[in-house]
Amino acid sequence: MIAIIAAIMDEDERNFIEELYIKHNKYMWKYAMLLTKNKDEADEVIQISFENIIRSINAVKKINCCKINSYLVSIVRNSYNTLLAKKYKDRENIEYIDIRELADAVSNDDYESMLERSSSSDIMIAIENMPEKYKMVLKLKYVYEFDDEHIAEAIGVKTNSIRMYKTRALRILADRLKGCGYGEK
Amino acid sequence: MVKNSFNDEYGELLLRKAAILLCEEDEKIYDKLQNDESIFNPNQEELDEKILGMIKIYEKKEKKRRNRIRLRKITSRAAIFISIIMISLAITFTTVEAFRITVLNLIIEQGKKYSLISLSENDNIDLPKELYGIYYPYYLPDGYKIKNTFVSDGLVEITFVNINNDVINYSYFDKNAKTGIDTENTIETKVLINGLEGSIFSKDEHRILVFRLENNLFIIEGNITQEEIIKVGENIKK
Repeated sequence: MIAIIAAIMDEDERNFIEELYIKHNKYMWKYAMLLTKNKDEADEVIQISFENIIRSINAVKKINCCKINSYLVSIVRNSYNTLLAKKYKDRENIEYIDIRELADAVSNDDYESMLERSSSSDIMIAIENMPEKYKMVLKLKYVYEFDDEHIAEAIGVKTNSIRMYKTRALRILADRLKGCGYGEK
Repeated sequence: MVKNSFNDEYGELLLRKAAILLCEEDEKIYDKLQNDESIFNPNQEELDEKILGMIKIYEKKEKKRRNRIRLRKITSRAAIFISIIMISLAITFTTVEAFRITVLNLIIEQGKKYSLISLSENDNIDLPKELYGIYYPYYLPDGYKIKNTFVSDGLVEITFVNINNDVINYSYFDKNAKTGIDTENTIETKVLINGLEGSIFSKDEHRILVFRLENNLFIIEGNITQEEIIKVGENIKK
């Protein structure tokens, strides 16, 4: 009986991923093509995307169906960045984050008034040039409700780095909303 | 401290709002892509084959991984189950008195020339004191009188003789003692002594009766008939 249940689980997961691919792959590929401007690289981005989806399958299955489209766009963009990093060996590393900067992040910023004062467009401008990995962490955590372990799997970092990404994202956001950005790319 | 905690919560809200806005943007991108017919993949079949193949490989790998985990779980559960059974049995053996008493049985190992007689031991049993008293055969064939006695802890030996110098040896010993009797070329007959199982080893007129009473093993030996030797055994009392 246990073996049958396990087989059904495997089959369910396979069906879920296959359905996801069949339903969305064309749009994902279009987006990959827009980003890479190269057919082969677009294929590669789709492959990386589905590798990511498979890796985080347990969390992906729980994403609300209304949010799955935006998730797939995010995952394609993230895969594109992975491809670029592979290609140019320009991988961002969490270890480069200056701990002293993080200490300041527990600063005296008044997030309440910041939240009240800032419009949606202010926030969008503030996060526009935030590193893609940080954006991905925020989306996975707050919208797709991944736990830290699954976020770490999805973006390929250690689980205990997620909190640092989040802290730094908050700092970038706060600084930019205050009008004194840190010059992030 | 309270202020910091609130501030952290507002920080979380700020991040959540930013994340939602980012997703709304992605949603817009997806909608645009749905309506855009200008981009298409000329090698769609090739991509399908690659990705669907990858998904199938994943399924196989996942099956193997789950089977491995399941096997590990089953093995560890079986080990725990066996351990519990072993521990339970050990506890039963060492704690249940009734169980131990049934283990205390008469064991007669019959060799070619002699039999080694003993009681199987269970040193944990504390026998009642009265069982260490002397049992005496209140019936003996006519004319027999006590010749020798030997009483020590766990062993009583009494020799009876009649006027013809015929001897009846009566002895009993407790579970800690062992003795040997000559059973060479004897015939063993199973008998009941006051409902207790015993054996008579016979060779010509010579007979040896062995039986168990309480926790003592009794041996009566002499040139007497089977009926007489049984009667001696049945009349042993304190």
